[in-house]
Amino acid sequence: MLKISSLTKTFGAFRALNIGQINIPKGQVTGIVGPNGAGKTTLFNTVGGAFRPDGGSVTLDGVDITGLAPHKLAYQGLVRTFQISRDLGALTILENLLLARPNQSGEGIAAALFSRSRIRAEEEKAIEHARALLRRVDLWRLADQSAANLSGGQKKLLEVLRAMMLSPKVILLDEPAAGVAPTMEGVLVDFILSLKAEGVTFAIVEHDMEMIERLCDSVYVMTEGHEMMHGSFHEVTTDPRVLEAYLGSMV
Amino acid sequence: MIGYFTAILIFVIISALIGLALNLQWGQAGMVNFGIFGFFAVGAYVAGLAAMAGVPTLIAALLAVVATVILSALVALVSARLREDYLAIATLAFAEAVRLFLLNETWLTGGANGLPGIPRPLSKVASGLNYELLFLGLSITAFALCFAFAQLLTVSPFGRVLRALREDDLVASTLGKTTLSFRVRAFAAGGAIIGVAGSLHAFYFTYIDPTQFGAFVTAYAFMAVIAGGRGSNIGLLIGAVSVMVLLEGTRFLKDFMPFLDAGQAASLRLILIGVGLILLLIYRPQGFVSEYRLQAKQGRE
Repeated sequence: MLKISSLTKTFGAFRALNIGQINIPKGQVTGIVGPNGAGKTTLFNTVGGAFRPDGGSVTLDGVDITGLAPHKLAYQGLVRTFQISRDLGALTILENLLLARPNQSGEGIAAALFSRSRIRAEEEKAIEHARALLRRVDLWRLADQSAANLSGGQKKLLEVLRAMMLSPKVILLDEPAAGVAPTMEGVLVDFILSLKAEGVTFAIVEHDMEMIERLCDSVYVMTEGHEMMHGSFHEVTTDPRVLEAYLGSMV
Repeated sequence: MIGYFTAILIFVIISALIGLALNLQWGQAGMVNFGIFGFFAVGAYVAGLAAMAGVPTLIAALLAVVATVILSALVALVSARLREDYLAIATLAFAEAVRLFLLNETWLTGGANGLPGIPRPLSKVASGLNYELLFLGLSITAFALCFAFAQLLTVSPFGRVLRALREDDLVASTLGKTTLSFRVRAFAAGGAIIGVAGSLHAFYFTYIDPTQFGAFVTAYAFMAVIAGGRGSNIGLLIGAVSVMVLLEGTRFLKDFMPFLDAGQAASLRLILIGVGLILLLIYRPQGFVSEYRLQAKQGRE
């Protein structure tokens, strides 16, 4: 489904990314792990449109999406979240979700001025959509509060919910467990698994191995910008090369 | 006395219009426009020149709006990659370019001598104090239209995207929003309101010259937006009135304190304005009124 081939990204003389082949299969959760500096977030930034790749290709369902800007990727069905939650704190939780809904005619100035009843009808539908999502994780009760007031874990949930408003094919989650309390981590894992059951595909960069084990169907291990192995959680965690990659970097 | 109050109200309306535009551009979309006085000057000169060339005043005002909209869109477009301080510098440079143009292209603008004798709208209908009141009515109508325009944008999905861009443009982009298009349109929408403000200024004073369009216009607009509450149009109105009351009210200091000489009174006036702003920023940094937020949960349990 999401195929990343020969993708490279260099910063000056430093080759931060040198991917051979990474496949994110449809309807699965694929983990991407590796020591700090292995290039995991760079991979997400390059696939997600924040950086332009220097070479290689990314295809989604056979469509070439290499180097597209983030807003174009969103319409192709690929949305990412961020390592440090980037909530839109001045907007309410509900507004955060409504913002993400695609094809809103009220985003045009003329419509905003003259097609008020059409916008109201669209907003009603958007609010219903958002409400259904918020209720699944018990956030509807906070719908009208500023997103800035949410806890770390709730902000991560909000990012996933916001992405879901676009009905995406693939969601790239960058360290969903970072800064999340253990109880919220359980909520987050359950929610991601329930979305997976509905056919949403995920790629996850994460350091929390427990979360990787609970979520991922398969795992890629990255070192020095390259994917060094791919396998089940068990295969990956018992491979001596992986241990060396993590521990060897400490020598 | 009525004449004085009418004049003050018209000043308030013109400065509130500029504040309304800034509230859209900076308050909501987060685009710092220090060059607002340059756009204001363009609006006033286009309206003035067109009216002097015999164009009906309403059409002259429309031409001014078209000019400020196009220039605003262009400035937003060429500074697409600039944020915050850098955009502030670029807009300031634009305003300086406008000032130099107005000063030096004497054949068109009259240079430092300015443009005298700009025709006024509906000048045959009334005269003297009655005309002042008529002009006040026109200004209030123009303000009401611009306020409705700004408020409809604020509460629409368009306004929501602007606030999202201000908070974090990468997130907005990740969620499928074309950031450049929204920035250009937000700047142009603000430009339209500045065009109206410029026209009113030209028609009211009937004489314009480059010194009327200095950086103080930008300073008052920012004061009004900050005092009123960034992002709130009602707050902006309260902010603009407060700033004007502070500026005009302190003129009468001397009457209450006859022991001060003129120089001391002028200094005390500036001190009071500064203290007022500092107190406001300490005790109510978010401004008088909070930004618009959708409240949709009630009635949908």
